Amino acid sequence: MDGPVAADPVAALARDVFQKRMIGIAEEMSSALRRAAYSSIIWDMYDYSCAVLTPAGELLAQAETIPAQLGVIETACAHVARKVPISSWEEGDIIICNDPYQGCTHTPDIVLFSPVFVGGDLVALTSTIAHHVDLGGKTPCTTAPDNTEVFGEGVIFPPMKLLKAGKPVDEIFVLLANNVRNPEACAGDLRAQIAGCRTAERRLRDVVQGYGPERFAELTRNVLDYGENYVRMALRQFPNGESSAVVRIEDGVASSEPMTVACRVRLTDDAIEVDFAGTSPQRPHGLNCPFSSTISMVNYAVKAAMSPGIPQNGGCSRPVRILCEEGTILNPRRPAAVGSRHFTQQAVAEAVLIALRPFVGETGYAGSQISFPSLKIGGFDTRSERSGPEGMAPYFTVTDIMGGGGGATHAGDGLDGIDTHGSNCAILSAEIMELVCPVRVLRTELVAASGGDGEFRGGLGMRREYELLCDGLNVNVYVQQQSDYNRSWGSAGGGESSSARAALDVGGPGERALPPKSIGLSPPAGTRILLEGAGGGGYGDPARRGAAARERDRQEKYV
Amino acid sequence: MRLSVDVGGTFTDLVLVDAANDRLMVEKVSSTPGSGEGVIRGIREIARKAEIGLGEIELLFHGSTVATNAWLTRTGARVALIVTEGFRDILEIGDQRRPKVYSLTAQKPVPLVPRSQVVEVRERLDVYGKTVIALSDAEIDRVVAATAALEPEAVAVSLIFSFVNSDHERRLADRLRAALPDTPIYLASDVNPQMKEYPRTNTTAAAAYVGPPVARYTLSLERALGDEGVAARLVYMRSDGGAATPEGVRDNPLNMLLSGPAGGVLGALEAARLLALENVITFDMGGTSTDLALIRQNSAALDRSRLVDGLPLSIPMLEISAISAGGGSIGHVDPAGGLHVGPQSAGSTPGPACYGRGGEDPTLTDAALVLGYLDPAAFADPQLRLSRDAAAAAVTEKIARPLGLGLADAALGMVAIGIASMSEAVRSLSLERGYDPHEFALFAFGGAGGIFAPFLLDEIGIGQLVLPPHPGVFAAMGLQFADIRHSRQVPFLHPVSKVTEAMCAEALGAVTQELRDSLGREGIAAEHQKIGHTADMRYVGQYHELNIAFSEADLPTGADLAALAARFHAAHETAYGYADPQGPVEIVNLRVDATGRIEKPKFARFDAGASDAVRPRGHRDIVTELGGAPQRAAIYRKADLPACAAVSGPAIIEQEDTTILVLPNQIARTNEYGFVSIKRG
Repeated sequence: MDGPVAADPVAALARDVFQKRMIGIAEEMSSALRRAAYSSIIWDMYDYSCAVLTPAGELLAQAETIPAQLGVIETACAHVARKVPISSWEEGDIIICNDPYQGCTHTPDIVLFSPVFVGGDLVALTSTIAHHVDLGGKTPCTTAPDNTEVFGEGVIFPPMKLLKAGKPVDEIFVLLANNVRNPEACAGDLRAQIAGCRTAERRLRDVVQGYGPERFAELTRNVLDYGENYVRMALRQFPNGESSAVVRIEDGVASSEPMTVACRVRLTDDAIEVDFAGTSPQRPHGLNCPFSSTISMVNYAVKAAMSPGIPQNGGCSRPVRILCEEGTILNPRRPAAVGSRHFTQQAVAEAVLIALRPFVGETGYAGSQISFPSLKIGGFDTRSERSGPEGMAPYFTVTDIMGGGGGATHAGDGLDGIDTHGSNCAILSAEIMELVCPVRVLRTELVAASGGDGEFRGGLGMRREYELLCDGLNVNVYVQQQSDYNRSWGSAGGGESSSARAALDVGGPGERALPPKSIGLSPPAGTRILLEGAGGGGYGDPARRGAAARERDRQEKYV
Repeated sequence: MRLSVDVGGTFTDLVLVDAANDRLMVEKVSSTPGSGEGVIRGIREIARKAEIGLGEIELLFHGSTVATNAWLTRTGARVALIVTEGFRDILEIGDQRRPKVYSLTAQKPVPLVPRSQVVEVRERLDVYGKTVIALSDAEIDRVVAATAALEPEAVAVSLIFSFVNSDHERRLADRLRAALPDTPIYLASDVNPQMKEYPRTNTTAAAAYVGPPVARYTLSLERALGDEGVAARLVYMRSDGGAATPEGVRDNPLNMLLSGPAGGVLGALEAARLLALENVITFDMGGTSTDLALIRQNSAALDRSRLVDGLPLSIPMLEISAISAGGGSIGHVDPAGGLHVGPQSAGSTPGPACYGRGGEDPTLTDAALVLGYLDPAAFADPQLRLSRDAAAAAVTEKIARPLGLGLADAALGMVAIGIASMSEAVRSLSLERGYDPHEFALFAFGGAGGIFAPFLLDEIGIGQLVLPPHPGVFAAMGLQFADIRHSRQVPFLHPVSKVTEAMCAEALGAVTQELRDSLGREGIAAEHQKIGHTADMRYVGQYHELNIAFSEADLPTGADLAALAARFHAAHETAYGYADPQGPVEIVNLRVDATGRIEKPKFARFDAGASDAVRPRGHRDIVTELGGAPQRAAIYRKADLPACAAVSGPAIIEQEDTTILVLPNQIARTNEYGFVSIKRG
C-alpha cells in the first residue's frame, strides 16, 4: 500500500516522537506498579495493565501486558465518567471501579483512574488495572463458574473516589479489608496500582509543561488519528466481504448444552463490523462475558489478524463496529454472574479470528488453545513449619493459570506452552507455590503430540500435576476444551489439536477424570490433581512438513 | 606498562598506559570472533607503534564477548541438563509468556539446552529441604549413565529446592565427576542458589553452555600470549565490574557473559571522581545499541537478574539498560506514515548505506552524514570512506519520499525518533529508581555518543554532557580501573528480627575466608583485600528483594543487624515510593563480595595544542532543526584545542576515534585532562 503524504510532514515527525514518549510513560507506570506489588499474581504472573488516556477517555498509550484488561479501559472510563463526571475530578483523586456492569470486566480486576492537571486544566488521565487474588465472595479467589449472580462475586465498587485530593477515603479501605480473604495483599496491591498512577501523573505533568497544553492536546489528537489511519490502511489491503464463524465451548455448570459464540464479520473498505447475532442467551452461571470484555477481545483479534504492527491506541478501534444483543452470554444483563468470563472471552477471540481467516489469505493462522486450565485453592495451611504464634495455621488463597499450545501460522510452528490471546500471565513457580501454600507441583511438562499436524505444527499443550499437602482445602479445577467439538482448529489443511483433560487422585485408587469445571472439591491430603491444556491447531498440508522438521519432532519427542 | 584490550562485535580496541613516560596510546583493529587472533594482532600493532617490547607489558586487562556471542548465536557447548523428575520442560516452557501479545507469529527464544539433552532424576525435596523422595544409588547410576550417553561437553544440574539443601545435587556431582572426569559440572546450588526454578535452571544451564567456549578461548589466548612473549599478569573483565584471574573466569564463566559494557561504566566511575561529578548517567552508543548506567554518589548499582535476549540470567552484574538504538539502527516508514528507527540494525555487515557494502536501508549514521555531522573522510575506521551520496539516496528513497519531506528533514526526523527512544530510556533509568535526571550529568562515549548525546541535553533537561578524551576507545580504557573480585551468594531465609550475629558468622565465616584465600593465592596482600557483606531483603509476603549492605565490619555485628531493617525501609521508600516500617522484613540471601585492589592508572594531563588561539580547520554546513536552514559550523581538530578552550556551537570537534557535535546554543569546553564538557550557552 502507498502511504499517504501527511498534510504537514514535519508535524507528523513530532507526533511520532510524542507517541514514543507516551508509551515510555506507560511502561514506566508498569514497572512502578510491578515493583511495588505485594502479590505473586502481579509480580510473578504479570496480571495487571497500565495506560494513559486523553481527558475524553480515549486510550493514548499502553504498556503491553494483558490485552484483555487493556481493552476494557476505555469502556470502563466512559462508564465511570457517567457516574463521577470527570469535571468533578480533582488533583490527587483516585477513582475506583470494578463493576462488570459499569464498563469493567470481572470483579477481581480493579480499575483505577486519576486525573492529571497542569495549571488547573485537565490534560490527561491515567489508569491501572490489576487482578486481585481475592475480593471475597463464596470461594477462595472470588470467581466461581457456578455463581448465578454478580452479587456472589465479592465486593463490587461502583465508580467512586478511593482517594480524594490525595487523601485516602479510609472507610472504603476498612470495608474492603473486612470483606476479602487476604487484606494485606489487597491493600498492598491497591497501593501498587496507585503508585503506577502517580508515576504517570508526575511524568505527564513534566511533558505537558514542556509542550504547553494546547500543543499537547494537538499531538494527542494526531496520535489517535494516526492509529485510526493505520488500521484503515491495513483493512483496505483485504477484500471486501462477509464471513462468519461459530465456536462452541463447554458449559458444564448450568447446562449440558455447549455455549455458542457466533459471529459474522463484514469488511467494507476501511471499516469492519462484527455482529454476534446467533450467540447463546445469557445463562445462570459465571461464564457470561461482560460486554466490555467482548469489545476488548474483538479489538484484540482484529489487531492480531490484520494490523499487529503498531502500538495500540483509541484510534485503532475506531474502524471497528461491534453489535451484540443484550441478554446474551457476550452482553449479559445485570445481575448475571461474570466472574469466569475468561473461558468465554478466549472463545470470542477465536470466533473472530476464524471469521477473519478467509480475508487474510496467505498470512493465515490456526486456532490456539483456549482451555484456560486453572486451579484455585484456599484454606488453612496446617504444615507445622507454617504455624504462627499459638500454633495458628495461616489462611491462604492461590491461583495458578496454565498455558497451552499456540496455533501454527503461515510463518512457522505454533509456540509450545504459552498463555494465549487475552491473557499473558506467567506460570507460577513450583517453588513459590509450595512456599506460600500447601500445594506441591509434581510435574510441569509439555504434552507430546498435542498440537495439530501440518506443514507447521500446532504448539504443544502443557500439563501440571499437583499434590495437596493438607486436608480440608477448598479446591477448584477448571479446564475447557475437553470435548471433541472444542479442539483448537487446524487451518489450510492442518490438523486440529488434541483435547484437554483434568483428573483427580492421579495414580491413586480413586483416579477419575474431572469435567471442565470442578467446584468446591475437598480431597484429602496426598491427593494428586492433573490439569492438561490443549495444544494449538496445525497450519498447512502435513505432507509439506519438511523432513528436517519431522526429524526434529521425533528427536526432541515433540510428537 | 598496562594494556587493556576490549573486544567488541566489530572492532577490538586497545589502550596502552605508559605511566613512566606519561603517555597513552590507542589502537583499533578488526575483531576476530571466537579467536584471539585479533587480540594478538592488536597487541603487536600497538607495541610496534609505542616502540616497546611485548615483555614490557606488566598488566593486561581483557574484555571479551566470547561468552555473549556463544549465547546469542547459540554456538555454546553441548550441555546435558539434569533436573528433578517432572521438570524436563523447564527451559522449553520458560515463564509461558508470549514475547509480543498482539502477534500470532512471534517466536520464543530458543532454549540453551534442547529437550533431548535433558535428563530427569527421581528425587524430591520439600520447600524446607526435607526429603520427599530419596535419591537412591541405583538412580544415580542410571542418571550418570544416561548423561554420559549424551556425550556432553558440560553438565548442568538444577534440582527443585536445591538452594535449601544441596545434598542431592552434590551426590550426583560426585558420581558425575568420577564418570566424566574431563567434563565440567555446574550445580545450581553453587551457581545461583535461589528460589524460582526457571531462572535458576536457565542460569545454571547458561554456565555450562558458555563454560567450554570460555575455557577454549581463554586457554588458547593465554598460550598465544605466551608464544608472543607477553609475560604480563592477565585479568578478565567480569559482568559486575570486577576482574577475574584466568582460573577465576574458568571456574565461573558466567561472570564474563555481560562484561562487554562494564569497562565503560568503570571508566566513567573513575572519571566522575576526577571531575567531582557525584551523579552521572553513562551513555555508551555503538553500532547496534546504546548502553546506559546510573552512577549515584560515586557508585554504580548492581543488578541480580536480567533478561538476556529473552532468557533470565541471575548473576550479579552492573545495572545497565541496553536499548536497540545505535548508529546502525534502521529507519523505516509504516503504511500510515509513521516513522520508526530500529530495532532492526544494519550491524557491521552490510552496515549503513554510506559504507557502500550493499546496505540499502538508511541508518542513524547515514542521517548524521546527510546532516553534515560526519566527515566522509574522517570516520573512525581508516579503511572506510563514507559515501554521502549513498546515504542521501537511502534516506531519500526510504524516508523522505514516502513522507513528503526534504532530505534534511527526513534525516532529522530519524535523529529525533532515535533521540526520543534514548531519552525515554535515560528517564526511566533514573525515575524508576526514584532519582531526578536533572541531578545527573550525562557521560557519553562509544563511537556514536559524541554525535547523538548533545541532542539529549535539551531533550531531557540535563545540565551537562561530558565526553572523555578518547570516547571511541573509552570502554577499553575503563578496563584498567577494575579490581579483582570474587562474589558468593549464600541462601539465608530468616526473618530479620530473628537473625543473630552468630547465625551470620556461621553462614558467612567459612565462605568469607575462602574468598580471602583466593585473593591471597592471586597475590593480593591482605591490606589490599576488601570484604563486603550484603543481604537480599524483602517484606514478608513480597517476592522481590532489595540488596542492602552491611557496614564495613568484617562479619556483620549486632549493631549492624539492628540497623539493617531501617536501612531496608529507607531503600524501599527510595525505590518504590513507600515503606511499611511496621511490616515484617526477611532476609533471603546473604552475599559476600571480596575485592582485591589493583593499582589504578591516572588520567593523563592533556597535552595542549600548539597555539592558544582556537582556530577551526574549516567549515561545513550542518542542519540541526526540523525545517531549519543549514548553518555554517566550524570544524575543529581535538588535538588543536588547548586545555580550557571554549567552542561555541554550531561546531564540530573531530578526533581519531570519534566526532563530537556542538549544537547551536551549546558551548563546549575542554579541560586539562582532555575531557570535553558541553552545556547550554
